[in-house]
Amino acid sequence: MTPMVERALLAASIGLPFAAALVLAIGGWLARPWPERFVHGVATWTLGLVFLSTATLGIALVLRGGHALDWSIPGWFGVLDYHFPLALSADLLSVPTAAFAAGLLVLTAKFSSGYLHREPGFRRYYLLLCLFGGAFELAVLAGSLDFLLFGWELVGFTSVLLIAFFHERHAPVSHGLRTFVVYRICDVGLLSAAVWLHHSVGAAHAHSGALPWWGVEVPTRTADAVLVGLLLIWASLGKGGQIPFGGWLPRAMEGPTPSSAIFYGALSVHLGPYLLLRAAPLLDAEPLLAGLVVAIGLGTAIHGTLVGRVQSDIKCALAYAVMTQVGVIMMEIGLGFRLLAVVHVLGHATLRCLQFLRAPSVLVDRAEDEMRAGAALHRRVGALERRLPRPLRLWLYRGALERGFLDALLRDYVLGPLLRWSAQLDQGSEALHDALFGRRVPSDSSTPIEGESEVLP
Amino acid sequence: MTNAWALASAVVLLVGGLLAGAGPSGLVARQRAIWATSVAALLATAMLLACWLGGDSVANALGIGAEHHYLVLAAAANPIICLLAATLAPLGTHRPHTQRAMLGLGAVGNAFLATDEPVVLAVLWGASVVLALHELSLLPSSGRAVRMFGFYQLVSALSFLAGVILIARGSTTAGQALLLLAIGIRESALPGHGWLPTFFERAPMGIVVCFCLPQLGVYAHLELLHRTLEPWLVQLVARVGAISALYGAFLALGQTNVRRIAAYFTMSQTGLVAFGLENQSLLGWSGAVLAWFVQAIGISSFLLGIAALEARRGSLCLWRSAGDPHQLPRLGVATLLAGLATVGAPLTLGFVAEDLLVQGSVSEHPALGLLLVLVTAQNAITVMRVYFGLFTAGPHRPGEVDLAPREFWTLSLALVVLLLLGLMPGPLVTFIR
Repeated sequence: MTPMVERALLAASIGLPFAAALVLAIGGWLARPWPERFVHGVATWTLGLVFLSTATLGIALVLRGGHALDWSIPGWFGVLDYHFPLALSADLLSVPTAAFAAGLLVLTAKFSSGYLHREPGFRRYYLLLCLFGGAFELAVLAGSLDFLLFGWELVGFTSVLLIAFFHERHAPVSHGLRTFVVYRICDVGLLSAAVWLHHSVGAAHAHSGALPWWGVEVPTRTADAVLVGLLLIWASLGKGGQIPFGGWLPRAMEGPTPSSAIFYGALSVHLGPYLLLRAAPLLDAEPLLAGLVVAIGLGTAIHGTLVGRVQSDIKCALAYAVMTQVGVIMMEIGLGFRLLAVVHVLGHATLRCLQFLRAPSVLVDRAEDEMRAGAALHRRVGALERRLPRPLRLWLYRGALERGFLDALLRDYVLGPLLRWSAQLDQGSEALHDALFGRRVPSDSSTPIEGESEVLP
Repeated sequence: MTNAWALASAVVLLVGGLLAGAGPSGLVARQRAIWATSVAALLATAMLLACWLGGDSVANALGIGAEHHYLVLAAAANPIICLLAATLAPLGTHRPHTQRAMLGLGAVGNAFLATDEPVVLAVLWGASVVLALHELSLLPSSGRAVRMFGFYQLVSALSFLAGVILIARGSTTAGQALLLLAIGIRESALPGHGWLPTFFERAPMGIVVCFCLPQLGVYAHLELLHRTLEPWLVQLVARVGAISALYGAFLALGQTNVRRIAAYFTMSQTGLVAFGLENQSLLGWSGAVLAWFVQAIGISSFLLGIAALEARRGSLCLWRSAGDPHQLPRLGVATLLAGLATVGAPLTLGFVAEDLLVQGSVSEHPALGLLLVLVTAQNAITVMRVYFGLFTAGPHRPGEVDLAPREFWTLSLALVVLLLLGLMPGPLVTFIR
């Protein structure tokens, strides 16, 4: 296969979903909604073509003996010697992930047509799915940290809009906003890391190390390397649902089940570990960073498994199971088992996607099981659980019910004080101006009404 | 040529404003204003597209000097702002005299861009203050707002004039300091920002947009101060810009009154431009100029989207102004996209501006450069909070209708400019540098 064809396949893998999203968006913007059949057809066929493109790239990669195809497209924009690196890379990490993601997206698109039939947001769902597909493929196939950021941020926007998909209700919107806050705060790390790499190394471009895929360039100064590493770990915490930011993950289940499956069971949540796989040279160079990743993964795994055990809602229980497994994957990355982590990501994503898609039927299944058994089925108490002293068990139970108190800590000691301080600064400034220019006529919209709450996480 | 073109646009806007002001009703005034601003905006867009596609060769053919390439962006943004204001500003709060003042501010803005004569700039600077102040004084119960706006802007206008005179007489440092004070107040930089929230709360949104968003201070800075400041003043500009951006972003998060949120959001975003203006690297400077353009169109669309919602729903507050998302889907999406473009979302020109600004700044001001990333994250949260708070999770409101055709086409133009240039920014970045 010629490099020209491979480049065309790379471009198609990213460009086709965006083109489909554009077609769907134009219909919505012109207030001439496309028929459901057309919308579903466009999305499914487009994602199918993406799957074919990435699968063909995979075959080409095997034929090339695993050597990556790097393609840097010049001239998107730049000033003097700085050029935004519009770089793509088809390597042993990106191509399997991209093909796997495209396959899951096709299946989900197919499944959703019946699940969301005649929903008011049917078209919006497919538009966001195509946009997500393009963004995810872009993040995965990017050949530089800067370009990865481009797809990474778009994945965040589409995730949030899908969590708030049922936007007639308050809870999905509130949870969507909460997720967005976490994403944006953590995305600061990725952008800052890319900028700092340009500043310290001169480029955030690909660099071939010991791994069979590109990784970030390691700055020569230890301080720079540690800073970039910490920023990338910070960025991975948000998308990966790791402590202390994982609270958004169970709340993200407010979206339609197929989107929960594809975003939080399969793809989006694994972008955190994916980023760390790209940052592997940094983890190898600085054991401190690797240790931190292991500690975060371990903490998240323990937190997720404890809290997940007391969830009464199937999707929430699955969310904590996802969190636990992603924590384990982070530990694998930190400990240096990178190939194991890749296999774990793909296997875990497949299983969770299936479990999420089956979640709505689980009650029926259970009722059938109980009917066959002729009695109610109770959860068995595990051996470890039986051996724990009762006070400790109760303490852990209470902590698990409160989701490890992490949400309360963030709300009471971080977000709440910050928002109060912000309001007080404004009030102080107004009081000063009241003294100088006369009292302000109170606005009828500045005070809350009893019983009504703002859309805030 | 740029000057002649900017001046021609100013004349079109001035004539349109006078005709609108003479209109027998708000409706007629608006129609006249839309005609005039459409002509100016179409000319502006054509000029922008020609320079974007043709680059230096078109600019040379049009007689635009290399040092003034950035002016094409500013001169294009100003009529588009006026068009957005004319089409989206609600009739209830925008009577014929308000339409006249809006277009008058647009005309003064374009005339400002057409000259680099310091005294003329000072006169036009003052004229825009008088226009806005007069309009503010016509509002009921606006005494405090008039006193605040008048005080701050009088200090700004007098400082500008004094600064220009002092520089002409050879007292360069003192003159530059005074000019920076004038520009700082106009651009609502700390601590001269006190007038902004009250102005946003009280003034009609069309006036707010036409007064604040052309950011005449940026042009004044580039023409009168750029690359001539003492090193300590350069440092001061960067620090004040960055701190203002952070302060505005932080205060926007704690507000519930939508107009006050919009005020602090605007303050934060303009602080980013101020931060990048004195950047020694061409990279950061290009980012600041692009951000100037993006904000002019993006924030105007965002604010006027809010104003259009106010026209349908009355005074807005995040505590109680949620709405049925199926009633105003296109207005909601347009407001969201405009806001996201402003804060540097991918696929928009804002992403390019943010990237250049941060990449260019971090070598000179490492800590402040990284701070900008935090600021844009906060502002993105503000945009999403406003969108969710106003357009979703609320009751069905009988009689509320989505975009009217005039609103639809104007917002489409603004969004196409932001998205198209965001997808293919290369020629534009090459052109302005």
